Amino acid sequence: MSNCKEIELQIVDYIDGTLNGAGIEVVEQHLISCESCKKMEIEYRLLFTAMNDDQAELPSENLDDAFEVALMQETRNLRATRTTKPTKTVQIPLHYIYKVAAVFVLMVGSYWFGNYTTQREFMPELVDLTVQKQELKTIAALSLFENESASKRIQAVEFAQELENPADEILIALINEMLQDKLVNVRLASARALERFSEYGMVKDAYIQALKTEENPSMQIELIEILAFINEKRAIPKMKELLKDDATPIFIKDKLESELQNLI
Amino acid sequence: MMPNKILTLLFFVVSISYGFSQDYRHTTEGIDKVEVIASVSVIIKTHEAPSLLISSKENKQIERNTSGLTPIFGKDNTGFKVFVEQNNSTLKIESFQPRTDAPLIIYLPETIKLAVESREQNNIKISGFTNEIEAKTNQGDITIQNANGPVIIENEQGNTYVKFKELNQNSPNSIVNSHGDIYITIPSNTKATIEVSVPRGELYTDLELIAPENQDNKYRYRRDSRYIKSLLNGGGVSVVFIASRGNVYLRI
Repeated sequence: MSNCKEIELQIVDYIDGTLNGAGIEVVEQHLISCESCKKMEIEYRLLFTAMNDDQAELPSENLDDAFEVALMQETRNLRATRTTKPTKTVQIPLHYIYKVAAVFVLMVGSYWFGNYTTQREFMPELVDLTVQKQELKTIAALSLFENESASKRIQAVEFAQELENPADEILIALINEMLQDKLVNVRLASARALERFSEYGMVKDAYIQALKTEENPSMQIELIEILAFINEKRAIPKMKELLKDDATPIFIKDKLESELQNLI
Repeated sequence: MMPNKILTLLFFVVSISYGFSQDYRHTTEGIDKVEVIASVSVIIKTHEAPSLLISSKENKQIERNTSGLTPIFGKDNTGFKVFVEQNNSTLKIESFQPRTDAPLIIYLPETIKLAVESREQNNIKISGFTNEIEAKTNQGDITIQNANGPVIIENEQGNTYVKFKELNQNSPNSIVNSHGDIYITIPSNTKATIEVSVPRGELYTDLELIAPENQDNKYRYRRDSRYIKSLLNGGGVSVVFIASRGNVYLRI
């Protein structure tokens, strides 16, 4: 089986339709079995679609019709003006107006064509930049997770949260922060950041683990909300246990009762 | 020879009283961060000198009859039931004073990074520091005056009061109170991206907090109605306030 790095190099050609037959088969086989590469392919397709859709400068299909209507109206106005004040009217020859209109249409068309061509030419570079930005954020996040400063660790969480398709090591780092950081501020920021990736099995498992070990009420509230929101029924036993525990604050019990009603 | 005897007596009195009322100083040259752990309340102020100062005027010294003896349940190398230890660029100040003792008052240069933790239900007061401040307590109040940020605060039972002089744009801020209220004063021209969660309380403010149109955090908006993310003066450094059971008071 091809590895993800190889597929990543071929995915742009695959989407662009420039990959050869054997290459297409390899990529498609890999995409069937690899969830993260499938996600990457979808994101690239979305990116390409967004870039193709970004054609605000494209002249409307009705432009010619509208121009003709405006021209006719202008001609009628000119005639009307000439009827009322014949001595002050400047008569513009019709063929001259058509020439101006032709130049205008040509200019708009050229601009659009140039813009479209440039986009096509720079598309691979833009994709490269997106990938590079993602890699830089990954490196920055991983290095900041180790920082002594809690603020910097929260910054690492923010970087990680911005990644569209985070590597496993990023998710593992976020999970470790959520489970182990000494300050609730970092644990809570990590729990919130992981919510974007809550479809991953390891993230769901980590939320359940965190609910079992977490003692800070702010964090408990956050975890209960997230687990109920992602409909994680494996959390029900621990939630019931917390509900019975005399040490659980009343406002958390209220939260547990309301969320358990939704979960069960 | 009566005058000589008086002079000798005076010398001994002055020496003894000086010996029992000596300030403690430790240089902060090469020190980047100071960690303070205490069971008593902690008050940290700034001074001009490049040193840690524990003043005998403001702090209770150990009793005379402990001279030459070693404490079993705590450590002390300052004469104030406080143990000071340098580890590379970090200075650790650990107080072994009983919880009910008077507050520990210390002075440090304003540019030092601070990490302060009260082990028991006591207060933390910090004023005038221009660098990063981390503070954590279980039941006391935390008060920070003239902060520049970043400020990271964990407070389980007490209230938190922070007055920002300005807001460093390089690193995020976060204040999480489980039970108490959060009182924040912030300059009106501050650029910040502010997130507030008050699941059981209210947000009171005189700032114009407007949620941006393209919310990037759809998950939280869908599950939490008492949450707002707002760009103050066009947005800037991240500032998170979470009062799980209390209110947030955010004012200019």
